[in-house]
Amino acid sequence: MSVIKRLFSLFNVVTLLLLVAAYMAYQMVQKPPAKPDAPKLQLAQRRDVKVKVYYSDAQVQNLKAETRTVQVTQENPGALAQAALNVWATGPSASGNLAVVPKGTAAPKVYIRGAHYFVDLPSTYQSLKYGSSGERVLLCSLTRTLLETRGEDVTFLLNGQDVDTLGHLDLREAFTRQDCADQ
Amino acid sequence: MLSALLLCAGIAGAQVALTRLNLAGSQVQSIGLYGAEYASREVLSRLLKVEQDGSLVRVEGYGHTLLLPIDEDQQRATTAFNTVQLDTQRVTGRTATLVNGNLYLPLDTLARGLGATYELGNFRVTSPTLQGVSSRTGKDSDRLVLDLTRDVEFKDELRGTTVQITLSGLKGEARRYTTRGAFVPAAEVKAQGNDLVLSFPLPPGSGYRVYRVVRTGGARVVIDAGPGIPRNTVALLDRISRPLIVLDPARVEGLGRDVTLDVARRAAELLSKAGWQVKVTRESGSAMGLNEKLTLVRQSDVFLALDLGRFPGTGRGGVTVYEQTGRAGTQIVNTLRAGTTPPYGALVVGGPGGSRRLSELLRGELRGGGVTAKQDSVSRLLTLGEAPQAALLLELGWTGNAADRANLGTEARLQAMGVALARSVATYLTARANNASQLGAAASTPQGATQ
Repeated sequence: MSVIKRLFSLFNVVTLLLLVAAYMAYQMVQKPPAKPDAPKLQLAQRRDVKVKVYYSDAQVQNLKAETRTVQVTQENPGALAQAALNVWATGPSASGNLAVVPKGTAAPKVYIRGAHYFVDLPSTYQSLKYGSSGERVLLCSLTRTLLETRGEDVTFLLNGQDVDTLGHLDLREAFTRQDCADQ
Repeated sequence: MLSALLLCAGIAGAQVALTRLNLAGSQVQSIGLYGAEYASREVLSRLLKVEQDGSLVRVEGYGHTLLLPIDEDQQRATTAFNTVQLDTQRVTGRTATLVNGNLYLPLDTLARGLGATYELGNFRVTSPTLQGVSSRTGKDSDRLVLDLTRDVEFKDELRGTTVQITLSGLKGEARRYTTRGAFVPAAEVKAQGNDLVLSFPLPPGSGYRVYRVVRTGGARVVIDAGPGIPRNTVALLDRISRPLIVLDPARVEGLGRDVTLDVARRAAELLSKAGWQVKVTRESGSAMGLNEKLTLVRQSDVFLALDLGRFPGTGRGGVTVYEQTGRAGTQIVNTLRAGTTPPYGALVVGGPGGSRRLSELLRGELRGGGVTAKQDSVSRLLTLGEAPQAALLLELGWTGNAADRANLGTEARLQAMGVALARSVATYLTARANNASQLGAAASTPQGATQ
């Protein structure tokens, strides 16, 4: 009787309980974490937005506007501007208007800082070798397309670099609506 | 009253008599002093510049300078034993004296020194008349000599490319004089109000000088002009007399023939032969760098860019003359075009009217050569934006147009365009030089010797 009493002393019981708790804790931390479920892929909603894009007329004298539908996921100025330039590079849909860049030419990248657009022209634009009037149509069609709804001016970069000219045209200052007004 | 009493007392004590004098047509008072006639400084100042410097009187007039010592001894002053200086000669004669503290000068000595006619009570000055114009040709300058009855004041100025010499109060026959000189082939004399104006064109790169030679019984105005005379005009006026024409032919590949350079060379050759200063920005094998080209553009009086239209898919053809619109690339150009133009400001920065006039002239000359040219405007061209004066872009045709390509392959077409270019530029610059005459007149800034 006294042996049993000694065996279940308070100290032994507490120690035993602590051992059990430690074992259970050990088992708990050794258990591998549960695999998280993969997030369900949700396609963003692409919306159709109408933008005005400018091309050259047949005489390379004036700019002709076409209203084109572009698809954007976000309707912010940056996305709209880039979408407009992408469709600009693909050429006009109306007959009588001329594409400003040859088919397959990459569209310029556009960035916005406040009311100012920055257009980074790919280096291939340097070798287009248009005449003075053609170069004006090239840059003015981009300027008019971007400034159609908002913004103050468009600064052109070439291959990410500040340059003075593109062919005969002065790129040292940003292009404004006045620079590209109809002749 | 007191001064009259003093004068009377002085007259009584010094053998002085009040007399009347006809001084170059006006009646004034003079005095008779020991038998000689004298006039006061106040009276003579109407006709001459009289200055007292200590014990000496300096008299200037009709191109002469007289120095008369003041002798306070009135009797001694009226004798011929005084030494007076008439221009560069020292001679004996009556000299100046003081009567009651007022300066009086002897009329016979003055007449002798000034080349006037004098008899008691009458002092006559010859009316200034142009007697004739003679010329002498030289190796590197020509000379014009104007013979005058007496010296007059003159003012010379370069108005555009014309030298104008205005001779004050001179009378003479208005006519045109021709010379055998290579540099001043002709001169024209015209009456302008009370003055006579002699004008002649100054050849490019030439200078001129004007000076007077005063002699007894008359005076001469001598004008030397030609490349042997150093130019002493401000550099700004060279924009009129030696304008710079810059031709900038664009390099267009794939056409076989360098047509822009061809037309530029033809025009440059014609203009150079006519004495104009022309620079072409490139040759067939070399071209100026952008900075070098822009420096030249900023110095230009006429800038003409020559290009060919190129654009994929267009069938456009024909010749087009473009004028630049919008702001210029240079701040001074914008500032001067926006503000009130100061005198000669148009020589620094010309307004857009210059380009318009040149465009009209060029299209007219092209039409005369059988080439129909359209007029259009362009913006943001770097070179045209930097040009402070007349600047145009001439598109000679379009590479994508078969008719244009065929036209540009013919000598006659290129020659017609070269001639039209040269003639329009020469006409424009000549008219600008003539307009600058009015500009100079408005500014009224005489140069060189004026006395």
